[in-house]
Amino acid sequence: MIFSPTKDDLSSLLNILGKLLCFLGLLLLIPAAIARLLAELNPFYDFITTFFICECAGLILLIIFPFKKEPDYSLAFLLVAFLWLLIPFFGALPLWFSGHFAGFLDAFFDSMSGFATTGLSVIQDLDHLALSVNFWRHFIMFLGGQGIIIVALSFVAKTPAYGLGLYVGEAREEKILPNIISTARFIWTVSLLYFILGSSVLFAEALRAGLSFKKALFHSVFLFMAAFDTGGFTPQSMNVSYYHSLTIELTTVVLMILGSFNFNLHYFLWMRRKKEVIENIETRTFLVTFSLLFLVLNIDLLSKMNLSFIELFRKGFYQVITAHTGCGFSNISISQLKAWPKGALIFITLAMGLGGGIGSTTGGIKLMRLALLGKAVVSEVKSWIFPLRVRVYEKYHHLQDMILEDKRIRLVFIVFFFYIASYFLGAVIGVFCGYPFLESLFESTSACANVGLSVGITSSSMPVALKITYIIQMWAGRLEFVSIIAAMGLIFSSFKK
Amino acid sequence: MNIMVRIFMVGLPLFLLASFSGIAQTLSLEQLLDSAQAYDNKEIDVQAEVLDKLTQEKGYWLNLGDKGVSLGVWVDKEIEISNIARPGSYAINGDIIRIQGVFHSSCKEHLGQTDIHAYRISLVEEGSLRKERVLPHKKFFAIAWLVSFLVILGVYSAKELLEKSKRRSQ
Ligand SMILES: [Zn+2]
Repeated sequence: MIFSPTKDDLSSLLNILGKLLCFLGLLLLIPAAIARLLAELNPFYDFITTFFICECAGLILLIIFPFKKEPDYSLAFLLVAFLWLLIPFFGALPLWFSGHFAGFLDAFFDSMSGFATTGLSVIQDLDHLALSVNFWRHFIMFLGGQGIIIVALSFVAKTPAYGLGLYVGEAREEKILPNIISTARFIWTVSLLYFILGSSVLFAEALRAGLSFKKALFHSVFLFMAAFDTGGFTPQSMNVSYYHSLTIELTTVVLMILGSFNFNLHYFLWMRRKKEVIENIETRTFLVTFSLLFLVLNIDLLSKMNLSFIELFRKGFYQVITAHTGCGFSNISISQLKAWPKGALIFITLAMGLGGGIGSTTGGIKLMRLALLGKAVVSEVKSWIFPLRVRVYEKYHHLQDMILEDKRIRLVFIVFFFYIASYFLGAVIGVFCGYPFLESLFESTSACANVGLSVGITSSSMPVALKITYIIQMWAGRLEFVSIIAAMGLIFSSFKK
Repeated sequence: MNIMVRIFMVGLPLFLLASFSGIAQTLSLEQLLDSAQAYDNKEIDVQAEVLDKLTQEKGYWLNLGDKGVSLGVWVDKEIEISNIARPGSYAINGDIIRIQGVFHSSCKEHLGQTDIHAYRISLVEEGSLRKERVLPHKKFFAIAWLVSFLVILGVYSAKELLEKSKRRSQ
C-alpha cells in the first residue's frame, strides 16, 4: 500500500487535533473547580494556566488548519498514534507545575502512565500532594481507559464510520452495538452503574476503616477509577495497604476483574445471558491461566517462605490478580515483593505479560490472542500427526462460534511477537542501565503491558534512558503496536514516493 | 590540671557516646524496611511523620511516612495518643513522632502486613499548618496565558465571522 496524504488530509487532521486539545482543556476545569473548592490555590492556578495553554494551542491549530474533508481512513492510525503522545504531553503540564516531579520528563512519564492505564509512577512526596492534583492523576487513567478521547473524536468526525476507524486504531475493534454512539452510551451507562456501586462500597468501608470523611470520599473515587480502568495509581505511597482493610482489597479485586473483561461480556452479563460469559473463550482462558499461575506461585511461596494460609491467599492471590488484570495495585511493599523467591517473580511477570480481555483497558498480549495461538499450535500439531486426514478447522467461541482463520492467526502472531520482543528489549536496556536481568524484565513487562507493579526500579532517580524506554513501551503497549506499525508504514511509504 | 578541664575531658566523650547511641537507636523508615529481615520481630525505635490516624474498634493505625517510604503502626487502645492530632497532607506538615515497638515484616495478627506494634509513642515535633501563598510567577503565567487566550479567541471568532459572511454573499 503506497499512500501519500494530500495537503487537505493533513489540514483536516491537524484541525481535528485542535478540536481535541480544546476539549482536553475543558476537562481541566474539573480539577480546577476541585482545587478552588478545597482552597488549594497553587494547583488552582496550575490547572487554569494549563486550560488556557490547551485552548490557545487548540485554537491556533483551528485557525491555521481548516477542516477540508474527512481525512483518509488509513490516516486514522497516524492520528491515534500521534494523539496518544500529544494528549499525555498536555496532561503532564499541571503535574509538572505541581513541583512534585524532578522535571518535565518525569511529569510526562506519570501522565503517559496514567493515560495508558499503567500505574508506574516517579512522583516525589506523593503523601503531600494536593487532592486536586491527585484527582487529575487518577482522572487521566479514567479518561485514557474509558476511551473518552475516542468518544470525543467520534463527535468531531462527521461520519460514524470514521469514528469507528479510530476505534480500530485504538485497539478497540470490537463494537458491541451497531454504531459507535450507542456503543459509547452503553459503555457509559454500565460504567456509571459500576461507579456508583463500587465507590459507595469503597466509601463506606473507608469510613469504617477510620478515614476522615473528605479523605474517604476522594479516595473511594480515586480507587474506583484506578481499579476499574486497571490503572494502578494510588493516592498514597502506601498503596492499598494504607487502608488496612481486607474489604477494600477485595472490592478492588472485583473491580479490576470487571475492568479486565471484554466490554461485550458486560453487555451479556447485564442482559443476564450468563451462558455467553461462561462459554466465552476469554473467560475460559482467564480461568485456566489464572488458576495455573496462582497454583505454581503458591507452591513456590510455600516451599520457600513460612506463610499461613490466609497470608498466602491475601498476598499470592492479590498479586496474581492485580498482575493478570493489568491493574497494578499492591498490598505488599516493594521490599516484601523483592524478598519473594525468583520463581514467584517470574510467575508474576508472566501474569503481567499475558494481560486481560481484548477490548478492555488492560494491556499485554491478551487472553484472546493467547487462546488463538494455543489453538493454532494444537491444530498444527494435529496436522503433523495425522497428515492424511482432511483438515478440520479449529473453532472457538467469542460472542458466536467462530472459525480460526489463517489470516487472523498471522495478525495475532505479529502482535504477540512485538509484545515479547518489547518485554525483552526493555529488560536488556534495564540491564545496560545496571539493574539485574529478572528485575529489569519484571519492570519492562509491567510498563509495556500497562500493569504498574514495580520491584523498585521505577523512581525519579532512574536513568533518563530507562524513563524514555518505559514511556515508549507504555505508549506502544496501550496501542497494541497495531496503529504504530501502521503509522510507521504510512510515514515510510509517503517518503518513498 | 584545672578541675573544670578534667570534667570536660571525661564528660565530652561520655556525652558524645550517649548522643551517638541515641542517634543510632532511632531508625528511619527506609533503613528499617531496607533491612526488614534483620529487624523482623525485634524491638525497634523509629521516627517519622504521621500521615494518617485511623481509629478502629480495638485501637488505631498510624500510617507513617518519610521520604516516600511509608509503614503502618498498630497502636492498642490503652496507649494514649490523643496528642497526635495532625496527620500530614497537602496543607499540613504532620506531627513527627517517635515509635518504640516491635517490627513485623509479616505480621501474623494483621494478615501478613508489614507493621510495627507500638508500646510507646512520643511526640517529637508538633505538626504545622503550611500557609499557602500563591507563588507570584504562577499568577503572572496565568494572566499572560489568559491574555493570549483572549487574543487568539478574538482572531478565531473574527475568522469564523468572515467566513460566514463570505458564504452568505456567495
Ligand atoms: Zn500487626
